Amino acid sequence: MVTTDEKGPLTAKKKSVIIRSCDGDEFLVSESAAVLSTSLKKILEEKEDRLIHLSDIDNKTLAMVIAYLSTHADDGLSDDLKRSFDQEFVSGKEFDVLKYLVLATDTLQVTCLCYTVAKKMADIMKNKLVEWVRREFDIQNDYTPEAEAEIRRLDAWAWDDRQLEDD
Amino acid sequence: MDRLSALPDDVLCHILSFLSTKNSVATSVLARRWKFLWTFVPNIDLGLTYGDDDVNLWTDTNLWNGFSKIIINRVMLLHKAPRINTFRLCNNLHDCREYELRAWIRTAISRSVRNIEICFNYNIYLPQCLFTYKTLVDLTLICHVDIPVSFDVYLPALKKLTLGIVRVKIDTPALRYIHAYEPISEDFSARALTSLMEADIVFVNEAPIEGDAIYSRNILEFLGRLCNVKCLKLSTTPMKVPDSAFSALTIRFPNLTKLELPVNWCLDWRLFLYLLGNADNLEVTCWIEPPHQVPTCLLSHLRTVTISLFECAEHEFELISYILGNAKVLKRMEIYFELHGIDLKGKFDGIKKISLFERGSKACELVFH
Repeated sequence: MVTTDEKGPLTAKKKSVIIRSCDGDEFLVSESAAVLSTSLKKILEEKEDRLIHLSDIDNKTLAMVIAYLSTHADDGLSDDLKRSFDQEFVSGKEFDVLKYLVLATDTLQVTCLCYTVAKKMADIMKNKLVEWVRREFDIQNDYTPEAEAEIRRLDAWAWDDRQLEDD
Repeated sequence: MDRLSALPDDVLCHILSFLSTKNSVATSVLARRWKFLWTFVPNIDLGLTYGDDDVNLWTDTNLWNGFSKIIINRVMLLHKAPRINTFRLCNNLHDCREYELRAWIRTAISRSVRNIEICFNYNIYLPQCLFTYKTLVDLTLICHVDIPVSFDVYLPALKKLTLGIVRVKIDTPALRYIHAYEPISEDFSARALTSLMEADIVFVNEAPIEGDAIYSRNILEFLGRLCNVKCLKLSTTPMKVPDSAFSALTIRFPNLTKLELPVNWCLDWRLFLYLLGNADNLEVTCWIEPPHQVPTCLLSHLRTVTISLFECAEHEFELISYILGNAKVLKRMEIYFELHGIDLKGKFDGIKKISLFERGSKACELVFH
C-alpha cells in the first residue's frame, strides 16, 4: 500500500516505531498498531522520535500487549475473529500475568484490553470465599478480629447464601 | 507488597465493576484498604441475577433474589463514586415506597447514569424524570411496573430497551435494540422505530379466544413498525390470523438478515411464510419446529439454517432434504436433536440419512448436536 505523509514524498513502507521495555528488549511495531494505545498515540504526536521507552512495563507483558495491538490493527481480520482472539488471549493466564497486563493496559490506555483483562480477573474472584481470595492473592489481613467481625455484622447480607468455592 | 494490593485503586475499582454490588461489598473484609473501595465502583448492581432463560424469570417472580430497602438504602448512602455507569435494582419484598424509589433514581441520574434496570413485582409508580432523561442509553423495566400514561416517554439517546409487562408510550428515535414482553395493548404505542436494528419480541396473547382477530391485527401493526430491523426474534403462543388481516398486509423487511423463532412457533404458519417471503436479504434462520414448506425465492440467499428439537419425523427429513438440495449458497446447517425422544441408534441413522442427501451448495457444512 502506498501512503502519502504530510511532507509530501511517497513511502512504500508502512511506518513503524520501536518500543523498548523496562528490561531493555526492543519491539518493532507498526504505527497503526501502536496508535491503538491512547498513550502511545499521544507520545507519537508530540515527538518525532520513533523510539519509545516504557520504564514500567517488562518485556513479557509488553510482548503480549503488542501481540494484541497488532492483531487488532489487522484490517484483514473480522470483528468475530478479533473477539475470539480476545477470549483466547486471557483464558488460562495466571493471575499474576493478568495483574501485570491490567497495569500495563491501564498505563498505555488500551481500553478494550484493559476491560477484557479486568473482567477476567473479576470472574476469577467471583463467588470465592474471603479466605480463598486472601490466600490466592496474598492479601495481608490487617483488621483486628473485632474490626472484621463488626464489618461482617454490618453488611451480613453480602455474605448470605452464596455458593462459595474453596478450591 | 501483596499481589492485588500493588494495583492502584482505580484499577481495582475497574475490576470490582464487573462484580455485583453484593460481591464487591464482600471484598470490604479482605483488608483495611478494601473497606470502602466498593463505594467508588462506578456501578450499583443490586439487580436480578439472570439464568439461562430470562423469559421465565420475568414471569416467575418467585425466582427473584431481591434486595430489601434497608440494603438498598445502605448502599445508596455509602456509595461515593461521582459517576454511575450502570444502576440495577431488584425488589420483590413489597417494602419500597414511591418516594424512596424516586430518591434512588434521582441520585443515579444526578451522577450521569447511562444504563438503568428496575425489576419490581408489585405496582409502583416510576418518577417522570426517568422517562425524559436525555442521556439514558439502556433501559430495562421488568414486570408490574406501572408507568403513568399521563406523560409520554422521550429518551432521545436510548439505544436498548427491554420491557417486561409494562404499559407505555415510547418516543425513542435513536433506539437500536428492543426486547419486549407483550408490547401490544391499548396503552402501548410506539412512534416510528426507524433506527431499530434488532428486536426480540415475546407475545403471550392474554386476550380471550374470540379476541384473536384484534390481537393478531395489533401484532401485525406492531411488526410493521419493526420493518427496518436486521435481526428479529419472535416468540408467541397459538393463535390464528384472520384472512382479512393477511390480504391487507404490505410490510416488507428489506434489511432482515436473521430471523429466529425460539419457542414453539404456533402463531400462524402463514405469517411465518409471509416473513420469509418478504425478507429479500435473509441469510440466517433458526427455528425449533421446521415449517412444512419454504418459499423457493428464499433459498437463493439463505446462508445458515439452525433446526432445534429435531425428532427424526418424516416431514422434517423432507424439509431438510429440500433445503439442502435447493439452497444454492448455504454454508452451514446445524441440527440439534431432541434429547429425550431419540436413542443413539436413531440419532446415528438420522445423521447417516441426512449426510447422504444431495446438496445444492457444495460448500455446505453439516453440524449435528
